[in-house]
Amino acid sequence: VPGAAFREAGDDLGAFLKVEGARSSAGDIRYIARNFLLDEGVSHSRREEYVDSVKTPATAPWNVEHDSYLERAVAWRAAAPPARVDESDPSCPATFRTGLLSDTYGGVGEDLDLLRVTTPYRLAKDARVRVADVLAMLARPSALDRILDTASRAPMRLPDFVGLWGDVMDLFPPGSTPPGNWPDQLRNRLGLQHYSARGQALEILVFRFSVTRVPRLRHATGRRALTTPTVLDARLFAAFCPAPVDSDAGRIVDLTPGSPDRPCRELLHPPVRLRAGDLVARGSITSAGPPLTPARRDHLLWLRLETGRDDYAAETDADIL
Amino acid sequence: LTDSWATEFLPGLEPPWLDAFRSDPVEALNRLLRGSFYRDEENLLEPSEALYRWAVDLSGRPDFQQALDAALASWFGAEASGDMLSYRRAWAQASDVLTELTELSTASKALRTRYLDRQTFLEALAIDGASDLVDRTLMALAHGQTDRMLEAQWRQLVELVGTTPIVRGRIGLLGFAGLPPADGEERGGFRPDLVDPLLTFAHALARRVDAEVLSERRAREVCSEATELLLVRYPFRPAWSRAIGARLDVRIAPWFDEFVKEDDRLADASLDSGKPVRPSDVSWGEIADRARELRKEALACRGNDAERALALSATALEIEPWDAYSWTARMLVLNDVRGPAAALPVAWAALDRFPHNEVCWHQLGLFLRALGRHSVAEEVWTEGLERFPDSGPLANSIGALLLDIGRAIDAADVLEPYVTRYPENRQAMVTLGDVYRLLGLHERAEEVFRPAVEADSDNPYDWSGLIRVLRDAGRTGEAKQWQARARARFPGVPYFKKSILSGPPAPPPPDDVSGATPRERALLRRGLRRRGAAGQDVAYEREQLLDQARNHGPPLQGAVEAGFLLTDLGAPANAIRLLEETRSTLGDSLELLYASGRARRREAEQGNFTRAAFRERMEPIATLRTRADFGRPLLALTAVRLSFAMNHHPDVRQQRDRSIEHLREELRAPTRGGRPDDQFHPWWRQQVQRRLDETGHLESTEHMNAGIVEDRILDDLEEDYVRHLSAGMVV
Repeated sequence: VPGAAFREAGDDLGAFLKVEGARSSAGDIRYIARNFLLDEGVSHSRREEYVDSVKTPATAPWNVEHDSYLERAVAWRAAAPPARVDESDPSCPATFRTGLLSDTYGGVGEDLDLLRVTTPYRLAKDARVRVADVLAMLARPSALDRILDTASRAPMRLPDFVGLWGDVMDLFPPGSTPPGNWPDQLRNRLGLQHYSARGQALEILVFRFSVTRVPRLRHATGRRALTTPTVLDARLFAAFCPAPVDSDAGRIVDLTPGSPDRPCRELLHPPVRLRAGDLVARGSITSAGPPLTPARRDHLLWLRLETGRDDYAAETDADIL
Repeated sequence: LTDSWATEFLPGLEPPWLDAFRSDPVEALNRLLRGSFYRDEENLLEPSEALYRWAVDLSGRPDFQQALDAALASWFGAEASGDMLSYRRAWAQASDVLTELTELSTASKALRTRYLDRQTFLEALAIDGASDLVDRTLMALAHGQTDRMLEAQWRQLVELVGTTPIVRGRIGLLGFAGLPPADGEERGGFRPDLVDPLLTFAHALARRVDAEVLSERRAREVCSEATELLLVRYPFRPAWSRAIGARLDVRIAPWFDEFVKEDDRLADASLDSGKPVRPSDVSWGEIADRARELRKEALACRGNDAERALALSATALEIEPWDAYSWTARMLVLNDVRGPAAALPVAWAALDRFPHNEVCWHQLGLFLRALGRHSVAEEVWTEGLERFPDSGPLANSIGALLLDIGRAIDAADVLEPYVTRYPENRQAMVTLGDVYRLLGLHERAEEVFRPAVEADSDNPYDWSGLIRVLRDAGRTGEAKQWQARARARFPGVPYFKKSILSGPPAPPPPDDVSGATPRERALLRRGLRRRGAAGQDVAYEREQLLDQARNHGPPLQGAVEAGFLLTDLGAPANAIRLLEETRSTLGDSLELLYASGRARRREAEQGNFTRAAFRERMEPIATLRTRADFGRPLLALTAVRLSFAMNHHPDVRQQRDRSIEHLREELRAPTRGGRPDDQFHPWWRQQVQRRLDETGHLESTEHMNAGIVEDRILDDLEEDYVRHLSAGMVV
């Protein structure tokens, strides 16, 4: 199996992951451990770095120590979006220093549009204002533009997840009306299980921007700093599922029940400066996210189909496949 | 904490953390903030965002807010323990929570105490790449202030003393913005007190540029962003322009080019204190409390200080037009000080906005009756009673009116069913007794009055009622006996001193349909239409209206009402022309601006305008929004904003729930039309957003016209809303 670093290791963490992943009564949380075992995008050196951070493998402390790892090794410390990413610099976040750089998407021209979904709360925190300020600024492009600039300078930012506009553009047909529940549909397609309206509706903001906004790598000539997400690039999250190493982008678990569509692609990039004109839609999610298990099963089948690896996740997810 | 909060969430979706919080709030909070509480699908969120969302979901549960406030205060008060990295993260998360949930005042004070006591510790904790820990703490302190204790601290920050990071200068500015008003200071409009901190910050930035530690371009960006932030919170651009422009010096003037316009210097300075827009950092509760005090004071002093009462009631209406009590207080003061004719337009406007408020219906009828417009009062009260069949004041007022105008049978038709259901309503019962007496049903009338009188009623109307019945029935001797007893029982009531034979019933006044204003006629016509008997002659109606507006009655009121009706009749261009003529001769008034705005909106809807043309047409309403936040456009926009920003506040939720209840009641009654005035319902918000997206994404939310677009969409949605509500699809 190519590069499944956590599965191969025989240390405490590896044993812990196997036990946690095998607990079929544990609910969705078991998928977190399985994702670690599946992830082929984590290099052995990065794994070592991580194991040094996570000394007490048990679920609750793991969550804390994983967050500490993100703060130390993944968060972007610079005070402004980088003009260029030096992937050989030891202070460069591990995501871009040792991650799977995307040749396909990092090397395209200007015709690739990316998509980011966020919330007014997230934007407010990054921009050091309040949610009410963000909402008021949505009606004032000049103000929104400035606040987006401030947000891009937020310290300790984790890499940003983005989708590809082309994967969801059918939800926003030019010149005609998007479906009424597009926010819920978008949430499901992009696997944003954490955007679940348990009680009140949840507002989301959708930004669309060109890949040219993403800074280039210093050494990989012409390539932009886009990588395939791994389990070590974000908080512990069950609705994530690592893509096989030969995928050139992540694949998002589509939460839409019974969806026949190919999973959307996802990538990571360093902080970029968004602009008010990039905001293309604003809407409210009104439903809770669908259950994860059937979505994960379908997703894994898709991955097998796409990569031709019929045994992908056979060990970890035999109980749902 | 024993009650479950599960009802506030979709079935089965109560966050598991709340269970832990119920049993041990401080420990659960500590685990959440530090990240050791795994949060299922919300684990990807920062703890503060998850907590903020749950707080929004639980906005109707004050017990949760109180428990969270206490737990956070306790958390901040406790000594640092355990792993310092996770403690640092937890501190930042807790601060972020307080930045948003400013009503957690106990926790806010605890944070301030802790910060002031242990500033050095916090600075030490913040090293190693987490310098924003202090920033986030200061942000929380800036937004949760209940006194002016930190003013000096904010001053130091905006001055960028020593090596103060630039970002903290901006936080200092927000700290100034978050200071509660000084003694005697009014809030709710432009904040001239923020001009000095803003310019101080700009000068501090300029010094760093001059010292070559900051680029001119970056300084300008920071300065512009800070200015823009203040303008968003206090959207009085001309006032900012004038206030900043008056104090700029050469060094920093170019940084403010886009904010300081020469035209603003020439503009009407009275706009500065125009209609306040609810600022984002003042809570709903504060404004509601202030308006409540103003109303109370206005009503208390209307008898001895009329001008003060007028001013106070006007201010209450300005700062809290979302509350029907502001309107009723205003109309009561106007009625007392200037008479019912002055109160009437306000009463009509109030009814337009609060059709679910029983008091608005009743009060309007009282003014109409006082002006002798009995048929209109009857129409208003009848519709009011249809909406509020349990209303004693409405039933009694309509019964008394019908009785006075000689329609005793109609009065009995109204009152009998009511007193059957509410026999304890003595006032209605007494009126019905009078009705029986006038109808010659003496026995029935006696049945109403005699038991009360024999039980020594302290209501003189019971006594006079019985005396009159006995007199009308020819039992004069008995009547005189009771009159003698009544005279002793109520020595101060003149009626009992008069001859028993005096005072025959007055003839009813003539019907007064001809005296109805156009607006009133419109209401009548709607009533007729409901009964399927409407007949309209629009051309004739128009002529009548124009004639009336120009030649009869108070010109302003007539023009406004004619404007309303012309608009309703599909002739908004005529309405605009008439209203503009009136403005040019009589000057501006809120009523004229509102009527004109409505007509322009209708005109724009009629034409197939491009978005740019639509915006251009709406320009006068943008003025209206600044100068006279009087109409639905503002309400619609504010509702949308409020539902975002203040959804967690219990007042908003309560008001929303009350509105929904009224709507449901309306829909249950087949003869009543539903009118979705529930501007706080999330369904509105979702629909508005959806429609906004359909109609051109965010372009349509630009500038002040967003509210107009939303308002138009709200109108379009009314039918949908009623249908959804009746089908049980909402809530």
